[in-house]
Amino acid sequence: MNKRITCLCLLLGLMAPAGAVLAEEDMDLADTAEAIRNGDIDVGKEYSMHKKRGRYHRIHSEVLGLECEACHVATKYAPDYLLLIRREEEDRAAGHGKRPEADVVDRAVCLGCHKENGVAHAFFGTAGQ
Amino acid sequence: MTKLVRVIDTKRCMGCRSCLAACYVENHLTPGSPWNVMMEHEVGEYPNVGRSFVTMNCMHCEHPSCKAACDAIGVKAISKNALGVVLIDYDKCIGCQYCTAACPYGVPQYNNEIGTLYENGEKTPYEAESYAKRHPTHRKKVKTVEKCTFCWHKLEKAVERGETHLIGQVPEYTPSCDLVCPVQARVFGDIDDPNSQVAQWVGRKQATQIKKEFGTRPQVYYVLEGGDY
Repeated sequence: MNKRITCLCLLLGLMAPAGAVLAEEDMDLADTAEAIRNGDIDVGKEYSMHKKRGRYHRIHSEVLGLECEACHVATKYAPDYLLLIRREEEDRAAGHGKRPEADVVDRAVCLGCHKENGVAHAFFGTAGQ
Repeated sequence: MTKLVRVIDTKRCMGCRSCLAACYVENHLTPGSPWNVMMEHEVGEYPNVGRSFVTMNCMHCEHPSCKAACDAIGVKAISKNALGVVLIDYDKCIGCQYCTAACPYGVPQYNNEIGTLYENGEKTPYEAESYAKRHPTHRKKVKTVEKCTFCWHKLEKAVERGETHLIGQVPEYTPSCDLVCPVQARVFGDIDDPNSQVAQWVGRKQATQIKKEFGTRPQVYYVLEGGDY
């Protein structure tokens, strides 16, 4: 019995630093979200969803660093997609190349941050709204 | 307190699309941005197969995520009125589509073009009706978002005449999609009235809201195979 308790304590001790890291990441996200809301991080005023460098995509992909596939779950993107995106846009503006249309975003992904008491602006489960 | 809800019995629905047709006629359909759609699924394995039908319109959520997204960027084009109807003001809408991204049900429809149902590009007499004669919810604008209004142009009359207690009980004050169903698969009314058909269906048939995990508390309930979840 004592052995089991010792093992459990040891396990909890090992898990504690991992929990602390996660909380720190959440804190970073919350700080970034707050900085966007306060205007400390400039994400532009282009609200259109059609613009790949519009506010919506800049917040999620550039500032927060979400991989494209996190939302566009059924589309495959090259690992260097985000790095190349600016050059691609220049190419497309010059009439070369065409990026495939993205699929519909899975809203369940949004729920993680945009739920009530989440790090981002609450869109879901906002009791008392 | 009146709280308007719709209950759709998917076990009765046979996928005839009468509700879709009624909506399109009643609400000046813009091809490409329908307010009411039918989803079909094949179920079972051969030889025991079948099709299930789910008609989808706006859920008029108690906590609408579309409104939250719209308000967050200060546009405030979406409102929820005292009867619980969620409406979009086309004059305020900037067409950003944040509401379409936030809605878990894929309801808001971006109006990319006000087309016509005629192939030759001419407008039908119905489409040609002047905007001055139309209800504000039917004065559609290109590059804005639109969606089901629970036929607000009909409910509004009940409010003006002080007859909200008749909503869902007389055709004049009932959304058109709910009037035309040939198999009585959908009802509309006040869920706070225990004698209303919607209240009885929600209780007796174990009707449920879909995608509850989003916490938006939809005001459209579905009777599903297997009951509530």
